[in-house]
Amino acid sequence: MTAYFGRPSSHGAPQAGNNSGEASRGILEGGVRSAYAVIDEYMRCGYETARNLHGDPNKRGDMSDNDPNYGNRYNPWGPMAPLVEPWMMATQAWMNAWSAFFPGAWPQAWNPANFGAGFGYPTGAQSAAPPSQGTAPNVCVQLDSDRPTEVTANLNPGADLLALKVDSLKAEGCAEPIDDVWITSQPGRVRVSVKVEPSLPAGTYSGVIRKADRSVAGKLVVIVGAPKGE
Amino acid sequence: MSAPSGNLVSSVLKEYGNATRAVLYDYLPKAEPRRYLYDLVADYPRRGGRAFRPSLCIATARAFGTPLEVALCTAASIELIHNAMLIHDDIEDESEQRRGLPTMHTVEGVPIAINVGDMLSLLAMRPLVDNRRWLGPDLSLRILEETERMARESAEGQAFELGWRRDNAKGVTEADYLLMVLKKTCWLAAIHPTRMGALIGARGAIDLDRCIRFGFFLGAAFQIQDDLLNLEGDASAYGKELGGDIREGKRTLMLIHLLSNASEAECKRLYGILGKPRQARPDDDISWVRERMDTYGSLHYARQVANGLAGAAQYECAQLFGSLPDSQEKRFLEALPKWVIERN
Repeated sequence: MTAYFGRPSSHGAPQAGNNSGEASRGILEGGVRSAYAVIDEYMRCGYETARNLHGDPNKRGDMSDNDPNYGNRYNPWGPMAPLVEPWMMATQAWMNAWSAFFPGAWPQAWNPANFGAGFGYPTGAQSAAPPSQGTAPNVCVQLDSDRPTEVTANLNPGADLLALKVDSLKAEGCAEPIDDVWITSQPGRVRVSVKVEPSLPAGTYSGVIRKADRSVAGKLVVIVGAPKGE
Repeated sequence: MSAPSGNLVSSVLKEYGNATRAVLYDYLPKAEPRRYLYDLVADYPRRGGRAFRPSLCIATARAFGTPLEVALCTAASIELIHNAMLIHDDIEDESEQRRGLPTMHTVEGVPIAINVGDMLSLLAMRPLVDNRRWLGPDLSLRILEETERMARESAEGQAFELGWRRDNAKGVTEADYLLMVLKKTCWLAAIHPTRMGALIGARGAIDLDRCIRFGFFLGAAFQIQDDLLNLEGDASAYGKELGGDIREGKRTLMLIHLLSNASEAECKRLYGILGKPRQARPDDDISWVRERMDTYGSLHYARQVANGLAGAAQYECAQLFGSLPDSQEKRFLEALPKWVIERN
């Protein structure tokens, strides 16, 4: 056995020359293509799973951030929240105040200067925006439409700290709503994604943005223009 | 690899590896029962290793300008989980050597080794709880959730590999292999450390899905290179028995290539060998499989695929970190794809 281990292999490897170079390139490209196909399918499945669970695109599974039966990042104390949350909030505020005395400690910011463009966010101070306590959060819109479309999201201050969902967007006198709309939040930023189907009639579509308890957190309005050529 | 980037990777791995181990050791209890548990818990971490995973986490966080201390608890947790999985993997693979020494179960027995692995997994939770000091409760909880996802993905990937071996699976394709590697290797080796570093660096305000592609290509190139080293590496540097993957019946890219190119008679003999229990596979059989791999150029094929995946990792790295200001850590991340396919 040892005759075949512990040394670089040479048998069977393509010989030097143009043909072997092309063959190697073909292997390399084929491998990368195959790998991209695998990762694209993996990502697609993850997206579809998140989208389809419970028919709610904002849900990500049994321990979804929106599921009131479990603790989550916005409500880490789960169903005990009414009793525990006020006390924890006070404790956290006290910790935040004290941590300011320790250099580098959370939440005193280190400088994530200019990061973020690669992650789909603007660079600079905007990307490191703190959670909005008294002002409306930054909104990032992803729009898929083949015609002029305007998106307006009005959000209450602090909405970025909550799990959000949005109702179907409906227009007066139009039976066809915009269902392909979803919203996600993270401290300092809310992302809205809207897809306008080519068959959708022009009009002003609107829907309520809601918190997990169904109370109102804002409103989303999409004005869809006429298809090109009309 | 050019000397400067190779030296950079080595020096960063050494620096962050030492920093991680210093924190990790603090989490290993110095209590009874020492002989049957806590001395053994320290065994694999003390054997060394490259500390690739925690270094990747720290470097990613630092590339965003985060102080080193802020990422250390997460890095220590990642290394503890990695060591826990190594102990269990060695049992499942019936491996004989790890980091140049006999595997834990061959010395201490399977039941004790399983228990030590379980304890290491549990010990990995404490630094994640202690993250609160640096990251606050929300981000700490997020990292805990991410850790749970990584562990789940890894177990699913391991299930593929163990199942294929137990059932002597026929018809495993290259895409099947890459999906298995994505889950079994890439999540713990590259995706999770990158995601956690980015999460800490950006304090949660980040789209983590972008890290999956970079981590996948980097981790897959890493795995294929590891599989190649198993066949043709330097035995003293490799730290595991050469040819062990064939002996264990692992569906590596080289084996899949061989099976798709060999004659019908050769495939029949191959599956016959792979279907035997590990102990029943004589050296002659293993040598024959290795010789067939040479005949059909399976190692060359796998090396080319690894090169391509490393190139894709470089591309995804630029997409991910291109906007960050220049730093030692950013250069380290950029140098990693080439390093993983040229290490020995």
